[in-house]
Amino acid sequence: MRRLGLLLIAVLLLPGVDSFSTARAQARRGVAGAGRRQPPPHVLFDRLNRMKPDQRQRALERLPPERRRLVEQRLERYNRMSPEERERLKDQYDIFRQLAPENQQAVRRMFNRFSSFPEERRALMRSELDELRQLDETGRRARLDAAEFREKFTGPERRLLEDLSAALPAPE
Amino acid sequence: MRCPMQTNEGAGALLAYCSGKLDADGSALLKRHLEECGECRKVADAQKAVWSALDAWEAMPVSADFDRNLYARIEREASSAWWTRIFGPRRFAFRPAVPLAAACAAVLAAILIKPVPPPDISSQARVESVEIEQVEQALEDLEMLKQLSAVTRGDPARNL
Repeated sequence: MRRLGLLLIAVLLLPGVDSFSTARAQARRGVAGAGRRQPPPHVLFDRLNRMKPDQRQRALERLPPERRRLVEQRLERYNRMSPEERERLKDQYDIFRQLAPENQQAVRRMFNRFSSFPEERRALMRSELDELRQLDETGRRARLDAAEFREKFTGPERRLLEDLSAALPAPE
Repeated sequence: MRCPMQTNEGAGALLAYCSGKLDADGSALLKRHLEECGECRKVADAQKAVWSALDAWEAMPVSADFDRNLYARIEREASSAWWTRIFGPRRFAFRPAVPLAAACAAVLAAILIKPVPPPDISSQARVESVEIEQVEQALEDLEMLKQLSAVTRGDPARNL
C-alpha cells in the first residue's frame, strides 16, 4: 500500500517534471512567446548590434541579398546618427507605432505616393507637412483652404498633404 | 422501497444492515428489497464477506509487559528533543526507506534521463527571421518618417 502511494506520488510528479524539462529546453532555445508586441526600433537595433558577428550574419542571411544590403546600410546610418537625431526620430516613430496597423499601412502607401514626386517638390511638401502637423484641425483646414496653399501645390500634392497631415499628428 | 444504491443515505443504510446496526423495521424493509434487487444483494454479500473475514481474524497475543513497555517508550519519546524525535536512530527504519528511495530515484531518473529535445533549428531560424524582418520593417518606417519630416532630416542630402 505504501509502495503504491509512493508510486502514485511519483506518477503525479512526472507531469511537473515534464513541464520543467520543457521550460528548461525552451530557455536554452531562447524561444519567445508567440504574438508578442514588436519592440521599439532602438531595442531591435541594439539587440542586433549586440549579437556576435556570426549570429548577426546568420540573422541577416535570412533576407534576400538586396534587402540584406539595404538593412545593413540603413543600420549603419542609424548607428552613425547623433543622439539628438535619434531622439527626434524616435518621437516620430512613437506616434506612428500608436496608429492602428491598417492606418500604418495607409501611411506607408501615402509615402509611396510621396516618393514618386521629384526631390525639389518633396522638400517643399516636407516643410509644408511639418507646418500642417503642428496645427489643430481648424487651423489645418484653414491652411489647406488658403489660396497660398492652392497656388503652391498641385492637386495630387495637396491631396497627399491633406491625407498625411490628417494621418500623422505631430509629436507633443 | 427505493433502491439504496441510488442514494447516498440508502447506501449507508445498506452498510449498516450488513454490520447489524440497522433497526428491526429498517432491516426487514431492506431484506425484502435484497430479495428483489440483484445489485444491492451483490454489495451486501461482499460487505458480509468483509465482516466475516474480520470476525475470523485473530489478533496476535501480546506479551505480558507490552503495556508497560509501550507507556515507557511514549514517555521517553515525549521527553526527548524534537530533532531526536525526527532524526533519532530509532526513527530511521530501513524498510519504509526503500520504497521512498525508489520513488525519489524514479523522479530523479525522470529528470535526468528524460531527453531534453535538441534545439529546434527551424524554430530558432524562424525567430531570427521574424526579428530581422522586424528590424527591416522598423528601418523602413524610420526612413519613411525621416523623409516625411524636414525636422527629422538633419542633413537634407543624407537619407537614413
